[in-house]
Amino acid sequence: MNEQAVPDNSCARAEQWLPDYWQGTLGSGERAWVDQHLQTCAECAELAAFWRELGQLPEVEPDPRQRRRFDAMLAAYEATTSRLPWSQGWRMWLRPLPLGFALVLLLAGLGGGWWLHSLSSTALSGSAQDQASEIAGLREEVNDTRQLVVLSMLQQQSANDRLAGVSYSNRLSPPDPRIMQALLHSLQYDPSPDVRLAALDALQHAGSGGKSAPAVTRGLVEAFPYQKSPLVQVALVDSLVELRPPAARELLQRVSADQAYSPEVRQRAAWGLSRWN
Amino acid sequence: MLGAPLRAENGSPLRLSPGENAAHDAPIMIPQTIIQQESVTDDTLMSRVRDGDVQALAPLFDRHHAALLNFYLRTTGNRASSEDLVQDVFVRVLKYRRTYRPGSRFLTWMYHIARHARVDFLRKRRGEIEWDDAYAAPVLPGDPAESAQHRRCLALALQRLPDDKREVLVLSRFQGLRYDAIGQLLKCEPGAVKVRVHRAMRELREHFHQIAQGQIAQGQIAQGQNVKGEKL
Repeated sequence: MNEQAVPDNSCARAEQWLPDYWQGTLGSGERAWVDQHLQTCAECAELAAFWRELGQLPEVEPDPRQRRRFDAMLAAYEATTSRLPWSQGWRMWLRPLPLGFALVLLLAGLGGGWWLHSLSSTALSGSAQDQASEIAGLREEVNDTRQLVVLSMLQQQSANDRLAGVSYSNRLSPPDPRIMQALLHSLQYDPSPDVRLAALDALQHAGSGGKSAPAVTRGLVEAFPYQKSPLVQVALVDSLVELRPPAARELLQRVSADQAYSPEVRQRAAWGLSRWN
Repeated sequence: MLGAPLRAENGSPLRLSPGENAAHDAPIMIPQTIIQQESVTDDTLMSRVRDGDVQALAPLFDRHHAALLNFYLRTTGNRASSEDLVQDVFVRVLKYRRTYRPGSRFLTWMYHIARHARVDFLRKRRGEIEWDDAYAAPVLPGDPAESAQHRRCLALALQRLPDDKREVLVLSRFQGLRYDAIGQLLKCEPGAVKVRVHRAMRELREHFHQIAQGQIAQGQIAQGQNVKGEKL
């Protein structure tokens, strides 16, 4: 079982073997040795007793309402995903061309960046100021290319590609207002709840600080009425409670009292209000 | 891995043998699909969820939500938050279902998600845990007072452990995870996990004795004795 050198000191040896002894994965010879040691060492025997007694702490039984809550979540998820138009097979054929276009853009940007970089590195005769401005220009160009790729990916037919676009947007630093606007657009209009949830994650990150934070938090409040999926609604409530834009409180009050929303969403909004105070 | 035994609405285990049922109770009709699901592995079910059959998540919820609830109760200390976190885990399982690799260990993957959910929860709470006293003092019906007191001290000692030590102890002792699986979760070698478990147990013992001595001293003061048991 243990291939490491076994210390001579019997308690040190026990320390090495006790964790396996407790989980019942010790070999028979080592187990017999530990049993013998526990007969003679009060400290190790006490630890072993505590391990045994921990296992006797009672388990809490779940509330049956939790299963109903899970069923409601699953039903809501199925209802939203089954209506997705992009799940129809023939549309999958549209994937390669636009995605290929996005990749070509990405490669062109990287290639252009490499070319400019090689120019800047060979122009050693130029002044340091020229080199610095060239490098800054290069960075700007690469960043612009990345933004273009993200904007292109967010408009793909395939939800997987749009998800990849949202994920790629997290790598842009600092977040660009055009990207934020595109993510807010995805949050409001994307047919896939997965993409909406991913866009919400990215926006929440941007809304927690920086120049664009006020615009993003305002956009999150405005995006709420566009949501049909309880999953996204609940996630949006959580984000608003986290970011706490002033207008969100009134929204949560309205949602918690509006019977048009599902009980899960109303409960979450009420929970959000209780956290607000 | 087999799931928890099927239970009747009153909580007693269901007996699937027709002979046993006929002697005492009316036979309980169990849908064939449920029996079949009991023999299906977690990995198979999760692979189905991954491929779009989201209903296959229901038996996974039935198998694991009680263990998850107790994991969160022992690491966050509050029932309402723990129930929210259990739901959050299954929402995340759906959300990230495409990242599951068929053939891998579902339990390890699920606890990976559960730990992330817990980290997010603690971040929102700025690391503060509000322990629910009702949970900290588990008392069993017919329990002798001494055993109840001992168990209460043990539960309090577990609460007092630093978060990382409590977590590794809960994963190894209560959640049934092997050290190699915990090593995958914590991104360390199984040997390092064993060392952590042993250290956590030693610290648990120290806390236990401090708590027990404190309670004995309180009891003696209430009875008008000094710490040596002499009358004041």
